[in-house]
Parts: sequence; structure tokens; C-alpha cells
Amino acid sequence: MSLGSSLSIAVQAMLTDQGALAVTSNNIANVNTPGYTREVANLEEAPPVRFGNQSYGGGVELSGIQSIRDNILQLRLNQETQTQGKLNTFTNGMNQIQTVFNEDAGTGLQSLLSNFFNSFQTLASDPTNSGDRQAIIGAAQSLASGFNQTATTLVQQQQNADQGVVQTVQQINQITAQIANLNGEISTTAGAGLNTNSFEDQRDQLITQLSGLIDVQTIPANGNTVNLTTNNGAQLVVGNQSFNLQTGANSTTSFQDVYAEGTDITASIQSGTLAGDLQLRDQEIPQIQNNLDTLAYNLENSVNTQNAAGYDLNGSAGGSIFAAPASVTGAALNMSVSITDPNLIAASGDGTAGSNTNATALANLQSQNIVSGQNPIAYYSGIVSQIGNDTETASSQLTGGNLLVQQLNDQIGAASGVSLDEEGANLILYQNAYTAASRVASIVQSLYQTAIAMVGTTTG
Amino acid sequence: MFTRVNPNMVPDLVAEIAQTQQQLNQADQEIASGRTINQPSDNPAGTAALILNHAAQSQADTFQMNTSNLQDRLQTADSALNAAVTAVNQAISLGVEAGNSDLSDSDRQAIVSQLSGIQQQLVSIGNTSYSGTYLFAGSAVETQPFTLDATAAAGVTYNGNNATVSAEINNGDSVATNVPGSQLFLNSSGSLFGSLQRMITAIQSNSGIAAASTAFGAAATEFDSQRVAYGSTLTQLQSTNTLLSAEQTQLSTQENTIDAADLAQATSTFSQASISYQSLIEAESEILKLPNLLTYLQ
Repeated sequence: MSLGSSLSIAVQAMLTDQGALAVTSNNIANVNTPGYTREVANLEEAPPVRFGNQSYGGGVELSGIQSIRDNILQLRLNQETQTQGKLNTFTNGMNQIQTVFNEDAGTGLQSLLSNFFNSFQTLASDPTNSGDRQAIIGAAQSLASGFNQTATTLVQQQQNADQGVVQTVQQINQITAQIANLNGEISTTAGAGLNTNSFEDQRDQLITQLSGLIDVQTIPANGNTVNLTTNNGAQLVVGNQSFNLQTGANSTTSFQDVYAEGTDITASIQSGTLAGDLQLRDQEIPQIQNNLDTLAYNLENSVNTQNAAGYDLNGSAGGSIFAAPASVTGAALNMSVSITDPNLIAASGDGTAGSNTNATALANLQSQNIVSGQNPIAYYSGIVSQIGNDTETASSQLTGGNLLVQQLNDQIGAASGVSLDEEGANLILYQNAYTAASRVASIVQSLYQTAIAMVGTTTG
Repeated sequence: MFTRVNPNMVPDLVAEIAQTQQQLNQADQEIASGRTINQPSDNPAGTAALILNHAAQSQADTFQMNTSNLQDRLQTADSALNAAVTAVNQAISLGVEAGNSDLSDSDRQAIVSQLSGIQQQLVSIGNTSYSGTYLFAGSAVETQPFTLDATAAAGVTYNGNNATVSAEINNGDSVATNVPGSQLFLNSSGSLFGSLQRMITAIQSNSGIAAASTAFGAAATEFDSQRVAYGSTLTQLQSTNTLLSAEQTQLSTQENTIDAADLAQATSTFSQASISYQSLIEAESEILKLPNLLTYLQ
């Protein structure tokens, strides 16, 4: 075993320790980098060397730099992030919708409905009273206004969700482009036999971010690349190529549909922010609108019919109080009062001025089952409690989901997070090892000098 | 072998602080509004119950207001008919006096004069109005019911109708709010105006005075029995008023059951959440200051 071998072993140890120190230094530098997975320097014994009859160890070498990454946890995190994204967006939208159905805050239709029906009851106790008659028209106008405003807010929320769809699609396209890019880098770098840890970290971060926006399936492919599709199979990223989602206006609703390579995938998007906005825009809000319209439509028709069954103060048969709704759809948005003359309220049942039976009948519509088998106030309370229910359900699911994401992040951090204590200890270890190896080199150097001195120059 | 834990404690702390803050906000909202239901999602079923409760309260309020107005109207009618009874009693006395055979023509003429005056008074009472409508015209409330008519057998023409109007004073509860003038003053079982005119004619012609007096007495009794309806309706309105007040109290209690914040509990929750929040903030600041091994390495 030669001095040279010892020297080269020592030098190799120093280089190895330098490498390990570099890994440690990188970890410390990235202690706060989001998505960074800590790296570990893998030190291995170098293959032994035969020298004569003996086998001598070959020293230490840096066999690789491994990043401590748990792919299963990452997958689960992505799944939960998808759900979280959808629930978050949905809950936010619902909370905004709730504010127009809040009796306590002064919005909501209950007091307007009650005032409207009760104003007929007041007239019934004094049918010729012009003040009472005027009050009915005022109450009808307030009611129509209330319906109009509520319907308008729902349309606005739908439009907000629609804009959300467009923005989310743009974000998705930006991220898939970046992921495709990283796939390319990883493939090239791995092909050159180099370390792809940092690219993979970035890619994992982006995939998690993408998961918050849309449902994402991850399919590992060759060259350490990753392909992404939606749950339904629409391609998002294949190798170093990304596929943009498009939006296009729907011919019926004029809201934006989502296309993947020419196919309409709007109905098949299951999760993420995009699904949250789509659920609000295409399912939840239309249902609320339909219920509100049903209430308005039936109320208007019943009131008009009842008024027509009586006689106004001029002794003529009653007409309509509300402008007749053309259809259920839009009845709330378009509700309006068609009379201004208080005398046209048909309080009388037989044409005499003091008769009040029709006014009483109009008042009692509030307890008649004139809206899908329910009275108008009960039907309205059903609309509001449904909204409350849907909001509360989504909200508590979101709380649970947030907790789950937090736990998964903790677990990922436990595996991959940088501990400054640990890195500090490693610094000491590698520093000492480096120092020791450099001592060996130094001693070998003095041994060389001794050997040379032994051979020496002789002056003849 | 040890279990490695997440070296980064900050996200968990931040999440816990956010959660405590939410509890604080919730308790604060309850204390400020005095209600547990501050939006539908706080209690969906409770929100529905609250809507129905508010509607019922609103309706009860309306019934109570209407009942009060009706009381005023019927009180006016009742008072007017009371005045009529006074006049009628006067007429009865005059009728008896007229039956005295010692009277001279001019004496009888004087009595006729007084009776005519009473007739006009009764017409005036029959035309009593309240808030711009006639009380004794049936449902033709914008038509003056009685006019003096020398050509009519009863001495008056009735221009109202015979309708009774009912008003709803509570759910499923109605009262008749009038007795038609025809039923009061021109009743077929004893017409007040009719028999008064007969008495006047009898005294004027000094013939059949006694019979006419008797008939007038019977008509007065009929009138009395017809006008009683106003008094009993007023009594019913009063008890309905009381009932409505009780209903409102009950609805109010129900509302509190659904929605009132338990202030003691909310305040306690708020205090606890405050303390928790304070502790978390302090803990976080301590944890962030914790040294690690690197700080000790020189």
C-alpha cells in the first residue's frame, strides 16, 4: 500500500466532505424555501483495492445526493388540495349570496312579503280608506323591488363565478406551461446523469398549486418526467408539452364553457377552484334563481287572479296588480306593479263600496298553498334555509379539509423539512472529518519528505 | 429510533391563531347583536323558523291595529245609537201624553212638532259617519242612508243596502262590523221610523193615537234588541285584543328561544378565546426566538 494511495484516499475524503458540506449548506440556505425537500449526502465506502495479498479499503466516496421526498404523501396532499380549492371557492361564493337573504341585516324578503299581504288585511277593516289603498301599492312596489334586487345580485354572483372560470383557466395554462418546461429540464438533466432534485421540488410545488385549481391525475413517465391529466382524462401536460385549456361562450347561457383540445369538458371538471366556480355558476345559483322565480311567478298570478275576482272602488271588476309574468324564468328579475291608482284595488266582493271580502281573500293568500304546495312565506323560508344548509355543509367540510391539508403538510415537513439543528450537527461532523482528512494529507506529506530525505542527495 | 417531526412549526401556529380568531369573531358577533343567528348558515333550520315567526308577529301586529281601529268605529256607532234611545224614550212619553183626551188641537200640534223634531234627529243619527263613511248604510258606505221623505209611508227613504260586513280580527276569527240601517230603523218586526210616522199622523188626525203609541213602544223594543249587537261586538273586540297581546308575547318568547344569544356563555367564550389567542401569540413569539444549534456554533 503506497503513500500515494493514502494521500489520494485522504484527498478523496476531503473532496467528499466538501461535497457533503455543500449539501448541508444548500439545505441551510433553503430552510424557508417553500416546497424544498432536504437533501442527504450519501456516503459510501469506495470499492477495495487489492495490493499484493491484501485488500485495502478504498476510502469514502459521495455516491449521490438524495432528496428525501415522499411521493405518496405528495399525492395525498394534491388530492386534498383539489377538494380544498373547490370548497373554498364555493363557500366564499355562498357567503356572499347569503348576505341578500339575511333578515337580521335588513335584506331578505320576509318583511316585504308580510307587509304586502298584511296591507290588504288593514284595508279590509276600512275598505274605502284611500291611505290604506295607497299603502298597498307602496307595499307592492317595495316587494317587487326586493325581488328585482335579489335576482340582480344572483346574476352578479353568477357573473363573478364566470369571470373566476376565465381567470382560473389562464392560471392553469400558465402553470402547465411551467410544468412542461420543468419536465424538459429534468429529462435533459437526468439524461446527462445529473441531479434533478431542485427541478423536481419546483415541479411538485407547481403540481400542488395546479391541484388547487383543477382536478389533476399524476402519471409518472420515462425520464423521470410526469404527465398530467384531469380525472376524466383530458390532457394537461405530456412530457415537455403542455396543452392549453380554452374558454368559449355557451350559445344558450352566454357563460364561458371550458374546452380541452376542442372538446367541451365543462361538465366533467370535478375539483379545484374551477369546479367550485362552475358549481356555483351552473348548479347552485340557477337552482336558487328558479326557486325565487317560482315564488314570484305564483305570487303574481295568484294576486292578479284574486284581484280580478273582486270589484274596485269604481264598482268595476278588478284588474291585475302586477304586470303579468311572461314565464317562470325571469319572474323575479322582472316583477313590477302595473297600477298606480289606489281605487283599482278590488277590495269589494260585490261591487258595494263597504264590502271587504275580496280584500280579506287577498290578505289570506299568505297562508294559501299557492307556491308548489306551500304558502308563499313557508316557501320563502325553504329557499333561505336551503341556502344556509348548503353554505354550512360546504363550510364545515372545508374546515375538515383544511385540517387534513395541515396534517399532510406536517407529515411532509417531518420527512422533508430542513432542521437547522440537524444541519448544524452535520456541519460539525463534516467539518471534523474534513479537518481529520487534511491532517492525514499533511502527515503523508511529511512522510514523503522523510522518505525523500532518506534517499537524499549525496555530495560526492 | 425516533420519529422526526416537522421542524417548521410556524404554519401550525398560524392556523391555530386563525382558528382562535374565528372563535373570537363569532363570540363577538353574538354579543354585539344579541343573537345566535347572524346569517342563515349559523342555523339553517332556525333561520326558517325565525322567518315564520316574524311573519306571524307581523300578522298579529296588523290584527291588533285593525281591532283597535274597529273598536273606535263601533264605539262611535254605539254612542250614536245610545243617543237615539234617549230620543226614542222622549217620543214614547210624548205619545202617552198625546193620548190624553183633555188636549186641545194646538196642544196636539205642539206634540207633533216635537215628534217631528225627534224624527229629524233620528234621521241625523241614522246618517252618522266615521272617517268619511256612513255607519248605518249596510255596505253602501259612501251613500247617505236616510233622507226625509214626506211621500214615503215611513216618512224616510232608505238608500243604503241590507248587507252585513264582517272583518277578520284574528286567524280564523271574524266579527260583523255593522247592523244595516234598514234592520235597525225600518225593521219588519217593528219599524222605528214607520211607527213614529204612524204616531205623528195619528196625533195630527186625532185618531188611533193609543194604538199608534203601543206600536211605537214595540218598535222601540225591537230597535233596542237590534242595537245590542254593537255592544257585544265591542266586548268581543276587547277580548280579542287581549288574546292578541298574549299571542305576541308567546311569539316573542318563541323568537328568543330560537335566536337569542346566551350572553353569559358568549361572554365566557369570548374571554376564553381571548386568553387562548393571547397565549398563542406569546407562544409563537417565544418559539420564533428559540435558538438552534447553528447559533451556538462558532
